[in-house]
Amino acid sequence: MLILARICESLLPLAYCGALGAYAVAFFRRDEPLGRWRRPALLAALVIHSVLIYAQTMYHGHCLVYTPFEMMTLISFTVTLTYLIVELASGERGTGMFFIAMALLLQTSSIMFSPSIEVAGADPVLLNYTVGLHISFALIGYTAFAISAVYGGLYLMLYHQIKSNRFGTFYKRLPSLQLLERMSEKSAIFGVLFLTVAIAIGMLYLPDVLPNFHYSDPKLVATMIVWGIYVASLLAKYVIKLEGRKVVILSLVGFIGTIISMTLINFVLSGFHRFQ
Amino acid sequence: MNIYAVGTSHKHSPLELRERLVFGEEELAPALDDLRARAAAEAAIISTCNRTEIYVVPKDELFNADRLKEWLAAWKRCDVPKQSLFALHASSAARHLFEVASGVDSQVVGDIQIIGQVRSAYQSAQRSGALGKVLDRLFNVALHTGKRVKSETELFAGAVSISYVAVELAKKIFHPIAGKRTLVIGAGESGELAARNLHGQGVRNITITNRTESRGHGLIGRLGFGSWMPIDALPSRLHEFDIVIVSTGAPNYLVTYEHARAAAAHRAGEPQLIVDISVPRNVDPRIDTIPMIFCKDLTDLTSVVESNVERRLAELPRAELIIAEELAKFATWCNRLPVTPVVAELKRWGEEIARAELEKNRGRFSDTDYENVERLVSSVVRKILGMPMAHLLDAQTDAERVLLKAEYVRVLFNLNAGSESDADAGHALANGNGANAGIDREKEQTTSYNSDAHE
Repeated sequence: MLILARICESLLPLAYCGALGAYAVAFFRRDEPLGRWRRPALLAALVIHSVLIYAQTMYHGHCLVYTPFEMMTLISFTVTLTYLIVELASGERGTGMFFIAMALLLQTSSIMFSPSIEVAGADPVLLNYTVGLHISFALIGYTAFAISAVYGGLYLMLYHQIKSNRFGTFYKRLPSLQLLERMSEKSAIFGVLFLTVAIAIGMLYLPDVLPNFHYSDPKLVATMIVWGIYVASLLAKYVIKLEGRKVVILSLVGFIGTIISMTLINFVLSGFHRFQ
Repeated sequence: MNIYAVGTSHKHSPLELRERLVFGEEELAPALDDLRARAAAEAAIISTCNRTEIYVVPKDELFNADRLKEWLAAWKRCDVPKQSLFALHASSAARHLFEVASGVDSQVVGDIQIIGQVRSAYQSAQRSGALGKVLDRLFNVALHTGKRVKSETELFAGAVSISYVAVELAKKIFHPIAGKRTLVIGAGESGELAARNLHGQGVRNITITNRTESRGHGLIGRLGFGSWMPIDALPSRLHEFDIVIVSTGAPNYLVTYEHARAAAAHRAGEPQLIVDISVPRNVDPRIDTIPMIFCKDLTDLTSVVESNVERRLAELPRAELIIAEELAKFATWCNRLPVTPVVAELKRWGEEIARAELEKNRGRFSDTDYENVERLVSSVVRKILGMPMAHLLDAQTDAERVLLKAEYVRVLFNLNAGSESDADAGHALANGNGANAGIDREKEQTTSYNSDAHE
């Protein structure tokens, strides 16, 4: 399993790069022969990613949720899978390049910074079903934030292209501003809902199972701040009717907060949220 | 059988002449019947406001393009200067049709309508029973070529008129565009065109305003849709509209910065598109600095049109490459056409000999042995004839050599195969030096005329 995991770990960035290249070619130059390989390349990356997740899970004997970098590989996988489902359902391929870039970024970070999973034994807390539910909801929430961030970034890019009269490839290929805004907003709503449940489960249940639980845990505080930013952006949109562009900017700030809470805070500060 | 194309287009004649040569839908069937009664074995007519083109496979070898020109002038009962008509033959005619169907030959390069117009010409000829093996194939390949150019290049991409660019811009901002409220300020031609384009995209909520009320109502009458709003209400109602098209002859700003700011405040972050196609401008350009209001004037839109035209022209080499590929395939098909019956006859000849010999010796074998011998003999015949048949069907051979080889085989094996009509299809390309070879355009006159009409 270790060998299989190592092989997949080496192949996966290459597979994502290949898919990214194919989508980029199709984005900038329609119907170049390489562009026709975009979906097979993406499927290949997803298959390798699935095998990697399976091999690592089997080898370590636990789900990949011990470290934020393990979670990153899961988020990267779900972002790609979500995009593929959206592409198959809507036929919209103009945004593929950006989602794959995001997945590649998350996966590369995961491989580069992960302390390579030499985790001794499974923490019994993580075998608990309620904790598993807490982690699953958090995972889906973070994935939704990542997707919202991609749509939000594209919205800002297209907004500035139109404002500055740059009617080039991005203008031609991207979906409409309102559609991008709506997708970003819907993903953020999903993210907030799932993260709310994850936080609620954590707050209510974790004090009973974690003896060193405390509300000032840096990871918990950071997550609350991220959650607050997203809730504030959605309230601003629906209650005070803040313009779409500013809502998108707020959501992007929330996503940057998500990344910081997952990475930097885990590196620098310790707390009960670390299971290694 | 040769393929001839005779006709005129925006490149060869002025609009006045093209108007006289247009074939109406109801006129096509009798015209095709008449053509076939006189000189054509197969015929098809493409007629649009920018071109009238007749494609013919003649009945006899004595046919020439002049007869087709004379027929056109007689049918239309008008004098047609010979230099206003082009005449193409063989592969040049085929290439021309492929270029027409691909939008390469259109006045506005990449005019999307032309594919539908060629399809319509093909269907009319088909309904009239005027298509035979050659023109049927020719039009099918032409339509396929058009589809390939559309999907594999950007020749048809991007709007190339101001009003379409405005609609494209609206589609890039709003989703879906259909339910958006639109205000057209001005009752002139540009405003009318923009209103029609938006209506064509499903926008139903269109309001018209104009300084002169009677002209505004006149525009609503011409359009057959839209509602009226007095121009005095513009400042107070500007926020109600998602898309505002301004096209008047007023010398001052009708939509001021203050109006737009007030409207933006009302709209609470909802985007608004204001397109000013007036000269001089009727919309304060500072409005574009207000967040969520996209204000574009004629200069901005013209730059889009120019970039789209440039982009389309840059795609021409790719389109030409596709046309050359399809022309080569069509040439191969034509080259094989006279050979196909010879190949079939050769096969039949070999099988007959085998069958006769087997019958003669039937009594010498048991039933089981006979079946084995029959299989063996068939296999030997197939192998012996395989090589000459492959030679005959060789795609690389040019048309003249194909005809020559077919003739040798006919004489050598004493075959009677090959109707004249089939043999002539290949001859068409031989006369035109083969479609793979250089194209010899026989345009009698290619004086270019510019006119505003599209396909």
